[in-house]
Amino acid sequence: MNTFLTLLKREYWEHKTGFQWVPIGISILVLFTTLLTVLFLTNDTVKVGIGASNPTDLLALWEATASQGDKDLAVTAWYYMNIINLVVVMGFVGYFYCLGALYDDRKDKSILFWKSLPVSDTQTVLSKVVSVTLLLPLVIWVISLITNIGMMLLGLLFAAMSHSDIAGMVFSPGSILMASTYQLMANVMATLWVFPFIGYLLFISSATKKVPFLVSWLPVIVILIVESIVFKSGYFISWIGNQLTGLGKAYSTPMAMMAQVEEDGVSELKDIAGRVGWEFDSGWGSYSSQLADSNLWIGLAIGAIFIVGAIYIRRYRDEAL
Amino acid sequence: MANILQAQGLSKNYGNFKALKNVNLNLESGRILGLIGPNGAGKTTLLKSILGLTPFDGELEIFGLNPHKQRDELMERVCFIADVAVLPRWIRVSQAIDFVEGVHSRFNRERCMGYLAKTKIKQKSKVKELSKGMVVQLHLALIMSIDADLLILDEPTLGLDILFRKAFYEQLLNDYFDENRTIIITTHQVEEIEHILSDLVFIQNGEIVLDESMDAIADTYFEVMVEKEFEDQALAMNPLSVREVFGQKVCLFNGVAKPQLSEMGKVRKPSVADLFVAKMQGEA
Repeated sequence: MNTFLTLLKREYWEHKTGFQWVPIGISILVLFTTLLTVLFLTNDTVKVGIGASNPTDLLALWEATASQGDKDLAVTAWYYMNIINLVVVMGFVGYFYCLGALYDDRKDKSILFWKSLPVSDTQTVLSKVVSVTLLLPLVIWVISLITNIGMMLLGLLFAAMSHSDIAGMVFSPGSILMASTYQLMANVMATLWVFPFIGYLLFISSATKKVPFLVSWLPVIVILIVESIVFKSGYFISWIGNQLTGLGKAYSTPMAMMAQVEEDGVSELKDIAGRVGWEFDSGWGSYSSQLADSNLWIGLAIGAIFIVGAIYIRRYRDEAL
Repeated sequence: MANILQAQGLSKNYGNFKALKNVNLNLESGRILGLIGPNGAGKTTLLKSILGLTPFDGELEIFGLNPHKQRDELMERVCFIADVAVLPRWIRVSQAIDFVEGVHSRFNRERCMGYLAKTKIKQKSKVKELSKGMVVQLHLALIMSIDADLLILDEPTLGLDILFRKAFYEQLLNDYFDENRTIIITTHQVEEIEHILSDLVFIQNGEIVLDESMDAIADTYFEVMVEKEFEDQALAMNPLSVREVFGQKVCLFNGVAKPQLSEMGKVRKPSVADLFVAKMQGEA
C-alpha cells in the first residue's frame, strides 16, 4: 500500500502543473473577470438596464419574492455553473496526461530508473489509472470549493456595493459544498463513461514509439473510414457518440437532482417527449439508470482490456532496443 | 559459496545480428566482476538479460529466478544503473529520496543523506537544474543506499571527474561492499577499477573470451621486458602479444612458468588494459 501511495505522490509531483496550477490559473482568471463585472455593475456612472429596470433591482425583487426552495436551487445551480469550466480543464489535462503517462519516461530514458526499483509494471500502470480517474477529480473538487468561496466573497462585495439586501442569499457555504460535490459525482460518472477512451489512450501511450497524439487518432480514423466504405455502416461512430453522450448525462444529472424532479415529473416528461416522438432517456436525470445501462459496462470492460494490454507491453517490451 | 548467477548457452539475436552467442557464465556471491568489452560487444545486452529487461534464449538464473519471467521478485534483491539511464528531469532531489524510500524496503535514508552531504547537491533542486556530474552523483547515492544483494553498474562514472571517480570506487569498496553482496561493473576506464575487481570477464562479438578470477590471472599471465639477446627465444614461445617500449620488446605470456620467464628479462603482472588489448587483437 505504501508503494502505491508513493506512486500516486510521484504522479502528483510530476503533473503538478496540469493537475493543480492550470485549473487554479483558470479559476483565478474567472474570479478576476467576475470582480471586474461586480465593479462595473455597481459603478453608478454606468447604467446597465434590462428593459426598464436595472439588474440589481430585479435581483432584489426576486430575493424578496422567491420561495426558499427556489432560492436554494438557484444559488446551488449558480455555483455549479460557475465551476463547470473546471470540467473542461480537467478533460484537457486528463487527455494529455493519459497520452504521456507511459510514453514520456520511455522518451527520456528515465524508465530505466523506475524499472531499477521493486515496483511491478501492473502497479505503475494502475497508479496512472487511479491518478486520472480519482486523484485528478479530487484535486479539482478542492479547487472548485476554493473558487466558489471566492465567488461568494465577490457576491458579498456585490451585495455591499449595490446596497441590495441579498447578502443572506449569497452567503451559502452549504450550497458551495453541494455544488462541488455534485460536480465530483458528475466527474466520477463522466470518468466511467469515458473509461474506454482512458484505457485506449494509456494503451497507445504504452505501445507507441513516437508522437502518441497522432498515433492515438490514426486507428480511430482508419476504422471510421473502413467501416463506412466496406460495411457502409456507422456503428463505431455511433458507439463513440453514445459514450460521449454519457458525458452530457453525467453533468446534466446534478441539475435534475437539484431541481428535485419527482416521479410525477419524470412520467410527465416521458409523456411530453413521447408525444413529439422522442424516447425519453431517464439517464439524463439519474445516475442509477446510467449505472444500469449496459453500454456503460461494456465501455468499462473495453477500457479494462486496453489497460491490461498497456501493462503487458510495459512489462515485456524489449528494453535493450 | 553458492552461485548467484548462472548462464548456460545464453543467446540473443536481433534479426540476423547475434548480440550474444552461447554465453556460459557463473558468479558466486561476494565477488566484484568487471565486465569489459569494446562497444557493441554485447555487454549491455548481457546486463539487460540479467536484469529481465529483454527476452533471451538459453538458460539464465539469478538467485534461482528467471529474470525475464520473475522480474518483480528479482528487483527486490537487485539494483542497477544502466549506462543511458537518467533520473527524470522534473523530480526534486528530496522527492527522489522520498520515492525510493517509499517503494524500497531496503533503502537507508541516513546513508543517502551521508553520501549527498559530501556533494554540492541541494535537497530542493530539481534534477534538470543539476549538472551532469551531479545527476550521476545523486543516482549513485540513491542506489548505494539500497541494501541490494546484487548491484549492476553499467558505466557508472560516465561524466564524472577523476576526483569523484576515485572517491566513488573507494566508497564502493569500503562502505558498500561486503561478502554478502555481489557487484557487476562495466566501464571503459579499466585502469581505475582493476584494483577492486575479484573477477574479470572479457566479451567480444557476443562471446566470452576470458573469464578468470584476478588471482588466477596474476598466477598465469606475465609480461616480460625481454632483453635483446633473448628476443628470438621469447618470440618462439608464442607470446599472446608483443609490443615495443623504448625499443625493447614486451611479451605477454599465458601459462608459462614465472622462473622460466625471468631468465629473459624483467617479469611483471600485466595491467588489465594490456591484457584486454592482447586478447582483443588475438581474437580479432
